[in-house]
Amino acid sequence: MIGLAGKIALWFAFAFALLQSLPPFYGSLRNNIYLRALARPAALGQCACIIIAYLLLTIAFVRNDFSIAYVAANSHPDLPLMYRICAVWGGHEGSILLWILMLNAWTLAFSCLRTSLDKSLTLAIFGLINFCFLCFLIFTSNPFLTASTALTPLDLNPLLQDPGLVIHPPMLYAGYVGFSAAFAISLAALIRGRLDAAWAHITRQFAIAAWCLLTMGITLGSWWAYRVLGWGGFWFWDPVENASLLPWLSGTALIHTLVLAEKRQVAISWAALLAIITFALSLLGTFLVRSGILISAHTFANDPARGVFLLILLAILLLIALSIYLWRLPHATSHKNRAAGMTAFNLLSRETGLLINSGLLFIAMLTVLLGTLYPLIFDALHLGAISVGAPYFNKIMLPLALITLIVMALGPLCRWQQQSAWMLWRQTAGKLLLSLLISSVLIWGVSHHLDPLAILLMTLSCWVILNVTQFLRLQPGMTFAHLGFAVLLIGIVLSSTLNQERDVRIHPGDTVNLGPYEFIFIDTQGVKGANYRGIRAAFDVVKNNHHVTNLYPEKRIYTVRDMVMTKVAIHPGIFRDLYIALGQPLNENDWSVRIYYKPFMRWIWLGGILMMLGGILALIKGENSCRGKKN
Amino acid sequence: MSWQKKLNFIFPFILLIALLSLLWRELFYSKPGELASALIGEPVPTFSLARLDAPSSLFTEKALGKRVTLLNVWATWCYACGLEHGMLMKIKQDYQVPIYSINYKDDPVAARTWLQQKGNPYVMTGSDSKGDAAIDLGIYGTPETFVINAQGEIVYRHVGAITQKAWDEVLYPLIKKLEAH
Repeated sequence: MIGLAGKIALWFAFAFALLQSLPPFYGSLRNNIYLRALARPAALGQCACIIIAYLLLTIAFVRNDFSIAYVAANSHPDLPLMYRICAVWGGHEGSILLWILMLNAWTLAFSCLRTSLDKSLTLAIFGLINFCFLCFLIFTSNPFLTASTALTPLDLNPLLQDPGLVIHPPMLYAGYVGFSAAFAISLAALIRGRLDAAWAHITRQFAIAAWCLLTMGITLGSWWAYRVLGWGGFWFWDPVENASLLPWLSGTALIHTLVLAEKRQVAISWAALLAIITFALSLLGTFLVRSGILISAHTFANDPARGVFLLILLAILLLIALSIYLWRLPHATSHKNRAAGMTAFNLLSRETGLLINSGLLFIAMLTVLLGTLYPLIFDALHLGAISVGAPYFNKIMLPLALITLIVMALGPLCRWQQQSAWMLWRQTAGKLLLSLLISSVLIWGVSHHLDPLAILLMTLSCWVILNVTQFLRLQPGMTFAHLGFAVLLIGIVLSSTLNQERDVRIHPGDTVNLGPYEFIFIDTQGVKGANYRGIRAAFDVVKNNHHVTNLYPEKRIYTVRDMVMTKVAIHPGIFRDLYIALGQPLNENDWSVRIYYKPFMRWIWLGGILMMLGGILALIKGENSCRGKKN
Repeated sequence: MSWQKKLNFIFPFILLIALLSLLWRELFYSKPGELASALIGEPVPTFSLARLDAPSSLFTEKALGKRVTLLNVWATWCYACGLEHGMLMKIKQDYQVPIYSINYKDDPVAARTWLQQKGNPYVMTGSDSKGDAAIDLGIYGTPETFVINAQGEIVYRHVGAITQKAWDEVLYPLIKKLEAH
């Protein structure tokens, strides 16, 4: 029953998507207001259908309706209710449905907006994207297909059974898909030849909202990996992680460039191009993840038809976008806009700072893109098989991060149009010295070893923080976002240079020393959960003869999939994390255990949260827009 | 339109189409690491070998593929295998990745003694004294190690002894990822 109803809802959505895209588009070309007026009701209708379809799938999971193949493949009667609800997006088909749901949410947000922009044309472009993805969903990955034979429920992948999963994918998708708004608005503005301040303002609002969600999604993903994968890392440069980082980098560049476009009428075409590229990268990411073209943690069992279908969609959308961009750009940026407010600026000015910044972010994006696609290029040219891993990315992102930090420290201090170098020097040289002092003392204090690179990164990060805090009142959004980035880098630098870990073989009663801490292995006990059984070890953590905490790492067996999982125990703190992963029993009493002492680990996610907060503040305060307060 | 304008117009399309055709080609022809092994992405070829510890029972490809496993091909006459042995023991003890193995063109008695003396890192070992299974796997030297996913498909092939570096940078992250799926 649910399966049939779900299919019907999807087909209705399909019809609405057609109505939303083609007639209004034609109407816009012919100036037919009746056809144009179709866009909004069709968008609402589509949104309603998709919400119904999504709810139906959720109900199928809640009610354990295993007649639907997708439910049987991703759920089990023993699975706790919360995870059953999240299992909706635990597999391929459901994730695509979630993708479409998010796209509809953004369409809805845009259609409720009061704006001078060409709404029906924008909605038509939204409709086109929706139509493409609905085709993909219905023809290659329909979640409502009924199982032809009675299937044994397979349970949700145990790695996904974590609170992190509850919010990570929806956040990430919302961010990913959110850049579709910037894309649709910019394309409509290009067609209409109106890349003006109003366009820049609205695009920026949507881009910031999407960016916040994406930032949060990536942060949560990294937190999930840290908690679940059990070896203490937070970022692996996995193709799928890169796929989410690409639109983030390009989106960050977009947000900064749109400030220029809105306030100074410079770099308008660059901003429009970035809007297109950012969404293209979201699509590319979806393709890379869903086609299984690259080996990754996230690729699901794949079917070549899906890859082909997605690639065709990607090609259609990108070719259309690029053609519109190239054909319409001369019309959109010529005459009145240029004359209106574009002003000249000197080499040392805030304009230059923002431009350099967007350039750097773009280069960073290209670097990550190249690293991600490199194995494919290599393979296509018959040069052999290689894999590009963390060493490449770390090495190449380091200089980019250094330069970005310098621009971030100086840029906000610069005035629009021109800035005297001498004034800049007077304003900030003292702060640079102070941050050098702080970071040297700090690093010497904790590690008794002066690593020049760590000090350089720390100094620049502190410098950014010292320089940016003075804008707290005027531009809280920018301040928080930049603070967040600096805090993130401090977290990465310190946690990687000061990290200590030990692999030990111990039995109850043994003590392990790591950093200033003693870990005492007390005993092990059997535990039983709803859909797993396992063993729980108890550790007592002591520092200078004072009890700190008890930690209980577990080893679990998820019975349905017969998968062994390590459930790590973490004692978080602002200045250090203690992290225990239980290995395997070596004999009756002995266990292999991995213990980590990770200073400043939390700063990484704190940085992410601060950046997101910055984005939210910028949205609320209308910062950096012509309507907001002049600063 | 001037030449330069035309070029400005065409160049982005060339870039985009190059990218798309790369993806298109890879979608059909790519076997990630094709040259490393023609078997990548394929199920483990069928084999049936006498178990080293109990020659009356068999070790077949069906034993693999319940979870992510390693399939190590080794021999007592192979110098590098001796160097690799300590690492295999470490993988067994510290990382708990099950290792299956094929003892390649070897004397079962010598192989048993070797495992008794140095410790046995393997869950199960098949004795491939004629080297037939190894040919099916496309072995061209010992030691070689295959990473096999939970569906029993070969995902990666490591040629030569597993070093701590290769383990930390390539194999273990890959295994973690496969287990994550």
